[in-house]
Amino acid sequence: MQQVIKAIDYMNKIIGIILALMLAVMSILIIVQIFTRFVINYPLHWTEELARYLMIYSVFFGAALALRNNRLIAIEALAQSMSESKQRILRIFVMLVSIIFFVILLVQGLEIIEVVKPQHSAGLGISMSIPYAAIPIGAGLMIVNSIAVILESLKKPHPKTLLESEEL
Amino acid sequence: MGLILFAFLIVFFALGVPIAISMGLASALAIWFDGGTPLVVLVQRSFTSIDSFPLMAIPFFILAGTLMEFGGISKRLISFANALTGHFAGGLAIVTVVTSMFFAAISGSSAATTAALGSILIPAMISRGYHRNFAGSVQAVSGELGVIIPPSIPLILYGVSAGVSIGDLFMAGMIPGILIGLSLILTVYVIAKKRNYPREEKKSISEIWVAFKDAFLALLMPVIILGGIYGGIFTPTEAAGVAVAYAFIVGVFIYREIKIKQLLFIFTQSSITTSIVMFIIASAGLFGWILTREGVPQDVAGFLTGISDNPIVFLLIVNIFLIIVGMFMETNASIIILTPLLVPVAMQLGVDPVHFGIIMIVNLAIGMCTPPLGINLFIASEIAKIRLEQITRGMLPFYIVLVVVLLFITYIPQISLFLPDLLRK
Repeated sequence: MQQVIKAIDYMNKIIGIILALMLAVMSILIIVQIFTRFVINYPLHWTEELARYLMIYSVFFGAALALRNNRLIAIEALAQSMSESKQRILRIFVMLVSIIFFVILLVQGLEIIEVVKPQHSAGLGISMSIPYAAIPIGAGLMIVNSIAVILESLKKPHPKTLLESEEL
Repeated sequence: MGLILFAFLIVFFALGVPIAISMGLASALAIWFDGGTPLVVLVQRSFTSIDSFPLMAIPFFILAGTLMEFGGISKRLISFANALTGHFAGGLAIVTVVTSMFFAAISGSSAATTAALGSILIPAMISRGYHRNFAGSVQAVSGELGVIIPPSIPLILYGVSAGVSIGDLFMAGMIPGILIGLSLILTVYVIAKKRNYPREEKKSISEIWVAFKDAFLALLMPVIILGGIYGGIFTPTEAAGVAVAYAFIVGVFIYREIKIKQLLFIFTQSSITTSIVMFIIASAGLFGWILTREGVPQDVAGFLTGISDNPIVFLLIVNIFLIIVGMFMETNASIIILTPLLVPVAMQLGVDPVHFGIIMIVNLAIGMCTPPLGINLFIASEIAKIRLEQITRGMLPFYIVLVVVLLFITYIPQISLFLPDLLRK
């Protein structure tokens, strides 16, 4: 069990690096876009689109890490009124409910990839399956991380990070 | 279908299922029970609601804010504010409000403002003999300026959701933000006089000049961001990108406070923080679609106008409602859920949607400083090492002031609309 959690957290570390890279590339793209528009007066039409698609990937990848660290915004009044052992049971239940949602996202996401395959994006001209794939991949990562949270709750109380969980 | 949607939503919220997941799953279940609509619309709506260039301002403003937090900008802003206002009674507390106003003009979040400044200013105030409750509450209440003075992440969310110009909203937040800042300064001054809180040493003109030069690059940033947007040079998203580049260059190369090793942490954390907000937007896509299809906004409008079709009464109801929501709900989530429900009614009653956005933000910002769920209170009480009840006691005079200013902002639309109207001409 410990090994499984360790493996998932190792994967998360890599996802963290990918997230940082995606945000860095997005930042560079936006600067390039401003530069080409103003300075050399030759607006590129694909920079904005690529940045948008990177953002969509980073939202679903980042949500998986936020879930793992208990940082997704939730109303925690009920949990706070409970004893620690009951909190753990509630936490596992919440994760199981969440997994239902992620499975729907995964299954429907795989379906939509097939549907949009023939469509091509306006700027880059790539198949729309590529940006849409962010959702089923992200859903898969969220399922894996929910399992990590459940496994951890089975053995010890989940660390509370109230401070980080509410706002930016 | 609307009934199923809200029933599930309330149950999931109450259980503590994350808001993004509650909204997505409740919507999916509503569609499933209803039949008729294929579930694949869930994924399609999630995708299209975040496939948006204006929303990309959010990751960039969050990243710029984190870069500034690590880049030594808070420190320099504090010394400059101290040189300007430190010598008044309660000098450090006034410095807290003034620095929060400066910081708010480069940061789009209240929690970031409270955390970045509070970690320096709250211990400083306590060591100068200020009461802990007071020190904590001054920082908590000043932090809310972070979302009112532009740039502001909740205002971006409101603008995208209500279809209102983000540039206009930013401009509209300026005077209300300054007004709240000034009334806080006045409150702090009166309390400090009464309790005989210390003054800081008065600085000479040349010392003020030195502090100004040191903080100059930080002070220039809002000029570039806001000037760029209103000068018609950048879109808000591009301005946010410029803010990132600027904060990066200043923090890494000029102030040299950000170490290369920290960059991975800064970028990863900013990206995760972005996901926390944008995951809700994605899930709210299908939610909003169902609401519109079921005519829920019309029902809400019918209900509210049934109570009274007088805009003055409507705005009073909205204010009370939003303060209560703000006490229990996180700001960004509240905006995403409530904007599509309330804005149509407001417009029907002749309230300007830009003005209405400011009313919503100011209300919800007050909620950040109220128990039981107020992020600024949590952060400030943690730094001041006091309990929530203690900091709340310190907040009482500020609540009164905030409500008075809120009523001014609600009933005098010109406070919000003067600047955007001026610029539109």
